[in-house]
Amino acid sequence: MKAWQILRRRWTALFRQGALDADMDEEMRVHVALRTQANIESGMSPEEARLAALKQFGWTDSIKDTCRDGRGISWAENLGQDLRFAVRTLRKSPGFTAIAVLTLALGIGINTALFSVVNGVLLRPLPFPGQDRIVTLWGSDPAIGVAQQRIAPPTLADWKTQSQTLQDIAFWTGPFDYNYLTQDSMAKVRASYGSASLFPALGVSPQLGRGFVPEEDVPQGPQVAVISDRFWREHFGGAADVLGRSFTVDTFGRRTYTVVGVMPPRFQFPDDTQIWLAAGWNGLPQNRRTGHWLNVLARLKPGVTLAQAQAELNTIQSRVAQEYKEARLVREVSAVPLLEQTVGKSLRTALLVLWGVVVAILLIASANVANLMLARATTRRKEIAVRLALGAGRSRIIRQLLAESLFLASLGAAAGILLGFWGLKILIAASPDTMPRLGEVSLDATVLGFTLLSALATGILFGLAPAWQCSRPDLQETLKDSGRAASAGGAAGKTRNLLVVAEIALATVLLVGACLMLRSFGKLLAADRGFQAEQVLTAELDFSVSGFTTWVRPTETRPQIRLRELMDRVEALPGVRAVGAASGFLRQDAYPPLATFTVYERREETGQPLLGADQKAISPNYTRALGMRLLQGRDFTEADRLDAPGVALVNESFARRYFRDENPLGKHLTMGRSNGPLATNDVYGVALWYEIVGVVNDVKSLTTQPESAPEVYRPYWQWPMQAPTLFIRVSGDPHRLMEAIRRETHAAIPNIPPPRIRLLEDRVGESVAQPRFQASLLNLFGGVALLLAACGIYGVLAYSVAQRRHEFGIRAALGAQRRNVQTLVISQGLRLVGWGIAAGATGSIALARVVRNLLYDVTPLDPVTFAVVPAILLAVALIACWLPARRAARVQPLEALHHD
Amino acid sequence: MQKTELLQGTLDMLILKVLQRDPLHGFAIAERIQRLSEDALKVGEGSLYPALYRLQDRGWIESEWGQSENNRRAKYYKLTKVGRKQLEVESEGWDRLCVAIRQVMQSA
Repeated sequence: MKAWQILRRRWTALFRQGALDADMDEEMRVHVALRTQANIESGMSPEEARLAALKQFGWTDSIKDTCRDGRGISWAENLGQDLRFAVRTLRKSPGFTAIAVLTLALGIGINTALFSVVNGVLLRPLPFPGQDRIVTLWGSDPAIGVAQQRIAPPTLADWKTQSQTLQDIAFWTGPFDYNYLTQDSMAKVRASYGSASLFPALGVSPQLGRGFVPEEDVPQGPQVAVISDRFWREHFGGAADVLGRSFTVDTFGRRTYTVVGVMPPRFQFPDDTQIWLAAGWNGLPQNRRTGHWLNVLARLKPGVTLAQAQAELNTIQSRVAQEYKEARLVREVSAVPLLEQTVGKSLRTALLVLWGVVVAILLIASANVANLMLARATTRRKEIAVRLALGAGRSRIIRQLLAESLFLASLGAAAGILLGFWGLKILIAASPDTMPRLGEVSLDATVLGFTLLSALATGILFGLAPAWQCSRPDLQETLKDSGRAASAGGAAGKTRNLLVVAEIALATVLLVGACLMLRSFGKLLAADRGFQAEQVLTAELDFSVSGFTTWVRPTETRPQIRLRELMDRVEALPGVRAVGAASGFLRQDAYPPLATFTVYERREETGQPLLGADQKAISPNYTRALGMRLLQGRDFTEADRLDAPGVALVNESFARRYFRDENPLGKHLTMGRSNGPLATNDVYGVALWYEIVGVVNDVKSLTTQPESAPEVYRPYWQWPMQAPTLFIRVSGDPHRLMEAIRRETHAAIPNIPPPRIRLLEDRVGESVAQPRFQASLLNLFGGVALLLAACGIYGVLAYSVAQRRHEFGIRAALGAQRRNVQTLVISQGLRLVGWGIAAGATGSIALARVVRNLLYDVTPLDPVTFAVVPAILLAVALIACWLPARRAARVQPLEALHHD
Repeated sequence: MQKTELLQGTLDMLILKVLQRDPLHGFAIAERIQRLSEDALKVGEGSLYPALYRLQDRGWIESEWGQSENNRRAKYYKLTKVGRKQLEVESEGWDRLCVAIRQVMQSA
C-alpha cells in the first residue's frame, strides 16, 4: 500500500472514528438480518430465528474492539494513553511542571520575538518581483579604503553600453526633502530623481499612466514626475484625471512638474519617496568623470550569477580607469544584492549575532529542563523498573517519557508565543527608528512555524537523554535498592554535570559578547568627537524658497546678508553664548569624502588619487559654538568676505594626510583639478585658489563608528549657503530658547519655513541608537543566560544534596564540621563552574571575531571583558552553590539515620 | 457437529480465495466457506469481521456498500490487485505446507 493511502486510512481511523463505528454497526445489523432470514428459511419461527442469529453473533462489543485493532488504530490510542499519562504525572508535580514550563516559555518567547525581527528584516523578500536578481552597484577600491562609492554619469554610460550581464541599469539620486507648494501652504515632501529604467529594474510599473522614458533622463528634458499612491490620494484626492495635472516644488529653484504616472500602493523606493522627478532635472553635471553622485542598481540577466556580473564590471571598470587616467577612478566594482544593501552589513551581523544568542538561551533553558527531567527520572527509576519488569517494551517507555517532554514543550511553546507577542511589541517600540524594514516585522505564520519547530526540537532534545538513560536501568539493582541511593547515580549524574558545564560555557560566551558590546558602547559614548555637544542647539534653515540667489555673486539678495542678521539677533538673546552657521550639518555617513582638491604647485606622483576631503562653509564663530579647537594659524573673521583673498581652514586629518612633513599654513588649495595661476578668479568671480590660514581639530562623524575624514572649511561669505544650520551654544536650559530662536528667524527672514530646532546631544544620541539597542539587548539576554545558568547549577547541587542527605548525616555523625560539608558541596559545584568557564572562554575567543565589526575601539580579546565575565560568573555560581551547601551542612546526624 | 479449528492465518487465505470469483458481503463469505467445506469449517462472526477489517487495512481487499440479492443494503468486499497477488503467494505457501505435513505424517 502506498504511503499516502496508509496515511489516509490512519487519518480516517483516528479522526473519523464515529463514522467508522456507525459503518461497522450497520454492517453487523445486516449480518444479523441475513442470518435471521437464513434461519427462517431452515424452518425456525421468526422470533427464534432472530434470537439464534444474535446468539451466534455473540458479544458484539468485543468483536468491534477486535475490529478496531484490525483497523490500525492502536498506535494512536497508545499516543493518547501516553499523553493522558503524561498529563497525570505532570499534574502530580505542579512545582516541577511550573518551573519547566516557565523556563521553556522564557527561552521560546525570546526566540519567537527575535525571530520575528530576523524574519521581517533579513529573510522576508523585498516587495519587488524577482528581487533576488536586483543588485546595487558601487565603485570600490580596497587598496585606498573605498568600499562603496557612487558612480559618475559618464562611467555609468560606459557600463550601459558595454555590459552583457546586466539589464535595466538604472540610477537614482535622493531622497531629498523639498517644499511642496499649494495655493496657501507649504509642506515637506520626500522626492527622488529616477532614471527611465528604475521602475523596470525594480519590476514594478505604475498603476496609472507611465513611468519615465529615456528622453526624460537628458538634462533639461521634459519636466515630468511620477507620484506615489499616498501622494496621489493626499494631494489629488485619488482623482482619475491626475495625469497631465501639475504641481510645484522648490528644488533649489521653483519648478513645476507634470504628473505622468502614479505608482501602486505600498511601492517604496528609495526609502519613503513620495514623488519621483525626471532624472534630467537632478541638477548634476553629466559630463564629469569625477562626479560620483549616482546610486545605481540593475537586474541580472537570466542565468547570470552575481559573481559573473561582478567580474564583467571589474573588467569594464579597469578599462575605463585606464582610459581616463587623470580622473583617477577606482578600479573595482562592488555588486551588492538590493536586500543586503537595504539592511546593511552591520545590522545584518548584529541581528545574526542576536539570533545566535537567543538560540543559545533556548539551549540553556533546554539543558535546565533536561536536568530537571533527569533528576525526576532518577527518582522514578523504580516505577520504570517495575514497568519494564512487568513487560513494558523499552521503546514504549521511551515513547512515554518523550510524550511527557513534548507535552511540556508544547505548554512552553504556548506560553512562549504569548510572551513572544509581548516581547515583540517591546522590541519594536525599543528599536531605533533608523532600523530599516521595521514595518515588515510581525508575528506571522512563518514565525509561528519556527516557534513550533523549535519547541518540538527542544522537547526531543531535553526529553531524549533522560528517556534513553532511565529506560535501561539495571533491573535487579534498582528493584533491590530500597531507595538508599548512596550517590547521585553514575551515568545520569554524569549527564547532568555535562549539561551544567555546557550551560555555563554558553552563558560565558553570551556574557563575553554582552560585555564587549557594553564596553564598546561605553567607549562610543565617551569618545572624543572633537566638539562639545552639551547645551548646543541646532537650527536647520531652508533657504530654497526664500527667493535668495543661492550663488555667491555680491548682490543684495545673497543669503549671507540675512543670515548675518539672524545670527546677530540670536546672539543678542539672553543665555546665548555663541552662534555659528555652517553650510550643512556634521558629517553623518560613512562614505568617503566626495570632493577632491589640488595643492598649488605640488608635483603629484602619478597613480596617486586626488586629495579627497569634505568641504563646507562656516561662519567665524562656528568653531567656538561647537567647542572645537584651533590648533594652528587663525580662525575666520567677518573680514573674509567675497572680495577678500580666498582662505580656508583644514582639519588635523587633512593636514596629517596631505602635508605630512610640511606646514600647511600658507599653502594654496583649489577644488578639483586646476593648474591656473594664483590670484585668478573662477567663472563665478570667486578666487580660484585659497590659502590655508589655520588648522582645526577633527570633528568625528555621527556614525556608529565615529571617524574623522579630511575636511576643508571655507568662510561662509565665499560659499553658497542654501540650507545652512545654526549652531547655538547656550547657558542654562536649551529648551527655553527654542521659541525665541523661531521668533527671531521669522523676524529676520519671514518667507522661509520655521526652522527645525533640536539639541545637538539628541542628534548624537540618535547616531548611537543602534549600538545602544544592540548593547542593551545583548545585556538583557546575557542576564537571562546568567540567571538560567545559575538555576542550573543550583538545581544540580540541590538535587545532589537531597540525594546525599544520608551520607552527610553519617559524615556529621562521624564528626565532620559544618564547614567541611559546606566546602565539599561548594567545591563540587565550583568544579563544574570552572570547567564551564574554561570551555566558554575558549569558545568566546573563537567567536569574538564575529562581533569585531560591531565593536568600537574595543578588541575582541578585550582583557577587561575576559577578567570581568569569569568573575561575575564565579560570584553568581558561588551564591547558587552556597544555598544547597548550607542545607547540606544543616543535616542532623539523627535525621540522616532515620532517612528510610 | 465437530467443529474443525482453523489454523492460524488460514482464515485470511480462505477469505481471499472465496472473494476471488466475485465480490461478497460478510454473511455470504461465511456461508460460502461453510458450504465449500461441506460444513466442516464454520466461520464465527467474531473472527470473520476482525479478519475483514485487518485485510482491508493491509489493502488486500476493499469494501463498498451495495444492494444484496434480496434487496438489502450490504457491504461488499472485493479483492484488490495486491490481494490477488497475496492470494497466489498464500496458496503456494499452503501447498508447500500441505505437502510437507503429508510427508511427515506418512513417513511414520
